Amino acid sequence: MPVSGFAVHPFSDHQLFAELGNPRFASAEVASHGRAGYIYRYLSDLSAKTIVVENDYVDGDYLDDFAAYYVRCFNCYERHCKRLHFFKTDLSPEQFLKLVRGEVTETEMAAFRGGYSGFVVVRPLPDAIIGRTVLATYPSDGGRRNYTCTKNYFANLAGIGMTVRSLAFQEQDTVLAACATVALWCAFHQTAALFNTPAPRPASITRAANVVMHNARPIPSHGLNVQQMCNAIASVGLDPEVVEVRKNTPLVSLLYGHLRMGLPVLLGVRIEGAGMHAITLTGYSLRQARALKQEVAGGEKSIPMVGLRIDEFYAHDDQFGPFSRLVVKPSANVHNRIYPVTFEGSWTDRSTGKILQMAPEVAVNTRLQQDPGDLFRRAAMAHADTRPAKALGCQCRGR
Amino acid sequence: MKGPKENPEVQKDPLFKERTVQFREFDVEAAEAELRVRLPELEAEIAKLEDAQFVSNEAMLLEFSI
Repeated sequence: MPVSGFAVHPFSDHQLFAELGNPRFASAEVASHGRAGYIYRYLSDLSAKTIVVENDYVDGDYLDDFAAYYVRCFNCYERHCKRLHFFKTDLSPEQFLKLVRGEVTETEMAAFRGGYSGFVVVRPLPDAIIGRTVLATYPSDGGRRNYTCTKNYFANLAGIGMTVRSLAFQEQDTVLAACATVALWCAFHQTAALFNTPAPRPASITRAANVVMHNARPIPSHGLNVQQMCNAIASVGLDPEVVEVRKNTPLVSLLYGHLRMGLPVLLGVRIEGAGMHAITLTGYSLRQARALKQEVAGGEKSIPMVGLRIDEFYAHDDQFGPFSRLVVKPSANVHNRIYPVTFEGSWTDRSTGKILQMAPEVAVNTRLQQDPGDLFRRAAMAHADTRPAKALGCQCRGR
Repeated sequence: MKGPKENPEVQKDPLFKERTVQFREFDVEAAEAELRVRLPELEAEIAKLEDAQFVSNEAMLLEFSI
């Protein structure tokens, strides 16, 4: 006898896409949906074995979007979502029933909880189906991967408490939240844990961002500029700090300084041939040896800092998925502008498959209003690599 | 509880020996001289990062929409 309102399935691409679909978005369409494909590959890497489907799930974020927009549409949209839970262990419907009834030993319950890999809320919408998503991170790979902007999330699965360490992600629903809104939403989840500040829903963020500037209707959302992002940050009681990326900005170390403290950074990038995109940085990969010769453009000087040992960042990119890889590449000239470093991520040219270059334009971060000092600068300098220049293999003035 | 210097098991550990040697070889005066040489660079770096706080109007109006 199955548990009412729940279903248990083995994990597979076919099953995942079927569960992500809805009457407005068939599973065949889901299979070619970029975010769904990313989540399938991500969960496969995490060795997911089982999906537990929680039907008629009430999701606060979607409900707010529903109240702000969908309930007023001529077409009738569902207000309930589905939540998919993922496990690294095999599980049958009978075993799940026993777990829910508490007819298992403590060891079995601990094994069940230990195999939890997180959840995905499935929105009943056409296209923007990936709602609040909380998935476990990749293993640390001997301390190389550092997911510093994560917190513990609690999920109640039929009365069984599950915990997963992550940072919430969702794909953009273009009518209510463009990339910048979703990037802010992800960052606010972390700042809420750090500073006890609010973590507003996407529709509220879009509205707060548009309080001062009225150059277009806030909803449907067409995107946010940096000033609007700053308004949204100020609306939750934090101070925004914007760093314009210039050719002599040691960007990688600056980003590292913030991330090491657990502060997410909003990075605005120019994507070759696509446009301007905002993502939330959540972690970094720190190597033992240098990954970059220098982190500023050729001809510019910068003291050796820890950023030289970073080869990748991890970002919540609402066009792909959570913790997507952003490989750090050396300085480059893009359309007659020199950038200190560039990035390569999941963005590719649809016709040729070529990886698109991402050029950093601005880094927006948050800090407490009562912080008297320059947190960003202090963070970067605190982690300056003070080993003798000779040991770092670089020249030092005056020697 | 014995400290590492009194504990014969710890002293046998090659890593402990290696670190002890490294510590003894650390030249405080040379390190200070090194830092004095690099101080102007550190100050220049701080000044540069302070300059980075000035954000142009063009940057503030960049719109992220994809």
